[in-house]
Amino acid sequence: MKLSDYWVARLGPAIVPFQRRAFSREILEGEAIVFANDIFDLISGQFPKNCILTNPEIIRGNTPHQSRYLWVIDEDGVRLIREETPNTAAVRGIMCHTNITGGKPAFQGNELWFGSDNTLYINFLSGRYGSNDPVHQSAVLDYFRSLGFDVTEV
Amino acid sequence: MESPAVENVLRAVEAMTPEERTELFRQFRRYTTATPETVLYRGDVITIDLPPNVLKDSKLWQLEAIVGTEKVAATLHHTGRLDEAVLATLLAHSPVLFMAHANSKSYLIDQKNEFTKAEFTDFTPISTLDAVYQFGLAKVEEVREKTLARIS
Repeated sequence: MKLSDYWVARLGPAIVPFQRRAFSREILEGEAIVFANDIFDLISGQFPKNCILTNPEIIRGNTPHQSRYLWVIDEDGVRLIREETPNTAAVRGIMCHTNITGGKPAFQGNELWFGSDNTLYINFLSGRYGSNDPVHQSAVLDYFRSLGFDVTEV
Repeated sequence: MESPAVENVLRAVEAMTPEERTELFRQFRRYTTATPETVLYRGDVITIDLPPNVLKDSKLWQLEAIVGTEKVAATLHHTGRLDEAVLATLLAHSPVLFMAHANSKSYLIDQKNEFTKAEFTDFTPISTLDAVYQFGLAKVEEVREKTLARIS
């Protein structure tokens, strides 16, 4: 769903990968291939059918990588991919945020877990599209809440 | 429980500055270094002569991610080897990192700003080169990708 001007103003401006980190890392080969079949949207208030649910205590304890999802908000709204999805074209071997965007600009992007308590657990740990600005972080939490989800920062 | 001798050493290391620790790790190299390894890298035969804690399994992509593929490829094509001097040249202009603490755990983080100052304490700046010697290229690459990495 197209992002409204309200959310563009709160979440933007759109940036290219690592722009907020002074380009301290480079996009490597295979990291900007869009894996369309593995990317999915969030439908209002509903967890995706086949998503991996994780116990909240485990999420808070060690933010498990097996059930970690990467999310990006760009002009088309929020899209996700499971980080552990294999990417044989990249030396890292798994997905990164630019495998959602193709390396194009986006407003925000970080990580989340689907809690077994029907809550989204979100962090702000992405060098590619993440922001350390508390105003942005508050806007991100509000955006997910506006989609009908209970959200907790982890 | 460590032996008293080991505990004394650990206490001494903890009291060191980051620069002193880096120098210590470099000195340790004579005891820990592996035989220089020859690898094929982007069409060039490259000799890697670095402490094993710095670069594991010849994962040169981690260096590419931090420095830039073109720069690494051009440098190694020219030098034919990756040793301490070449590594120092490649990382000379990389942004400073910070060691910091939160909830009795130690982290390496990429920025000191309003957000991280609210979450962490005891910030100690450390150059990328020193961080690579202390924690390895993999850990520094993780920080660039995820903005922070736990170090203890």
